[in-house]
Amino acid sequence: MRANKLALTYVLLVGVPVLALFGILRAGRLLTAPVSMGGIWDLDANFNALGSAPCVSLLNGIDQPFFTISQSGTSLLFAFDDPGRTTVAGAILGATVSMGMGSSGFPAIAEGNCRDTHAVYLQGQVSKQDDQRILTGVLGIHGCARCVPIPFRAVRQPPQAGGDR
Amino acid sequence: MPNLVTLVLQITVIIAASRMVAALFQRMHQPKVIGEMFAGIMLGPSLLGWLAPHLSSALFPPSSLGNLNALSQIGVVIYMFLVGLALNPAELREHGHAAVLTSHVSIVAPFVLGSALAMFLYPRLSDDSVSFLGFALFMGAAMSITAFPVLARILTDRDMLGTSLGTLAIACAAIDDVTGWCILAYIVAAVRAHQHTSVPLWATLTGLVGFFLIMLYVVRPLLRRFQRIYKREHFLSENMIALMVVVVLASSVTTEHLGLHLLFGSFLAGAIMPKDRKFIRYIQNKFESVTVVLLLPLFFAFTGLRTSIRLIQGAQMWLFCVMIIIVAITGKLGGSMIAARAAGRPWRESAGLGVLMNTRGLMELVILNIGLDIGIISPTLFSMMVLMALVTTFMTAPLLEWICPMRLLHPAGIAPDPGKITDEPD
Repeated sequence: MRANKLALTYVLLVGVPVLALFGILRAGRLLTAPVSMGGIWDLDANFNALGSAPCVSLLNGIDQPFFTISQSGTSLLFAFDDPGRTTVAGAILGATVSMGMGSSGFPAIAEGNCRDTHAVYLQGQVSKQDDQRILTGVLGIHGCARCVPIPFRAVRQPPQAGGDR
Repeated sequence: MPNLVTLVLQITVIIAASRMVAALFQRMHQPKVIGEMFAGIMLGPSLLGWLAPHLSSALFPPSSLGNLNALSQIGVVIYMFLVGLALNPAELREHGHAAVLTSHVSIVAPFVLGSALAMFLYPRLSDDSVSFLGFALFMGAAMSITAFPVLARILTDRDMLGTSLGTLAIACAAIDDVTGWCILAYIVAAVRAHQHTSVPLWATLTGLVGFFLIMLYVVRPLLRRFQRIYKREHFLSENMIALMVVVVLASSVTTEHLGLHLLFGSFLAGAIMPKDRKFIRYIQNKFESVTVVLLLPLFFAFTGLRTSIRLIQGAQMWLFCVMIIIVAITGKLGGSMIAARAAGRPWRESAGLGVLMNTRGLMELVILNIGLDIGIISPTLFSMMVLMALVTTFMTAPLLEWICPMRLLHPAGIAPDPGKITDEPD
């Protein structure tokens, strides 16, 4: 009698949840997660095209051959290899990537007609082929009429194990 | 040479900090391992990196972390060997159905809740490089783990090892550990096969079966010989201890090459060891001091350096973190308590068991580090899960004292009602 009761309890407390688990795993296959962006990106942009435009020093910080993106879902964190180790928050929505849109993370430098609220921004589209990711778009400075946004192309280095996502 | 100086300086700071914080936590009636975990977090970007960024980057420059990681991983490899060593199947048999039911529910309940939570978190905290299956299974496994060694330490500190609650908790935690590591092994193999960075899944599984048979029928008899020699001589020569180290490390390397992780091999090497109590105690004494005092604090510090509470930004992220903690506690504590009660244990003892099984501690950190290494969880989710591990481990001692006060403890068991001490289920 006691053995029967235990068996019934086992079915209720273990068997039924295991069935529920299969249901969850099946239903979850329909979910989609944001495009993977985490990793090290090689940056190709002609920063010289900016010439002597005001606020150009804001972009000097990211005038580097590469940058790193850490990702948690749709939230991105861009980290540049400049001496100040600048980090700027960003986001991905579908294939559209943005950085510094409304963010105050980038240090503003008073220069010419630049105001303190000026900041660097990035807007682009990511395309993917297997594990390869290519980001194309523009880099610019908010509120600077004379700073023409410069086009860029960035390619993600092959993913490596080590938690750098 | 400067790298060596940096490493020695890092080790000095880590050990000093971990001892001081551990002593502080012991005064708060917490196991010292929780203090060591906190010390690790404090040395990372969450506190030191925030308060003194220049000091932090001078003490832990990114280029030096490889050495620290290597040392800490060796520590965890040996520690997992000790965890496997402490497993005793005989203890599982003593408790029969109650232990089997309770432990299975204590795995399944948090596993299912963790996977259900994964449905919510996957589109918000993951990305398409991770499959939902891998993410959900990992979240389930991470929620269902119990820190067998921390649990044993808490029971020893409270003189509860001989009580029926203590032995049942140990038995359940042992079953949880074995099951949890088997599930995690599958997840790691599947994820790595999916990433095309390792051997295919079929090769991993076939290799594992062969490796397991070799460990059981070739290595185990060798270890039995060691046990016989110990019984006869009351000690093992340095060559034999060295051979044992070689077995542990070779086993670790084999599982890594088979597409799993170093830690599965060392755990298996410990688990297949003959279980004579004196022999096990002797081996533990040989390995424990250096591992616990020197190497494990390095692991806590390395984990702390990867944990950044500041990544959890905004109300929404903190809400996710709270959800993770609630789901973890509900599944593990609630599941174990209901199962123990259904198996005929008194409510107080069932609740005590639930609290004990909810202890995640070091084992959770080990699993989370594996998840971060293979890229299945993001740094933000890693930080949230580390917080969950800290909260669930920290709450164990005070909650246990509240549910099962020392004055009610008796060698025969836990009293179902104050003043009435009995071991019989009601």
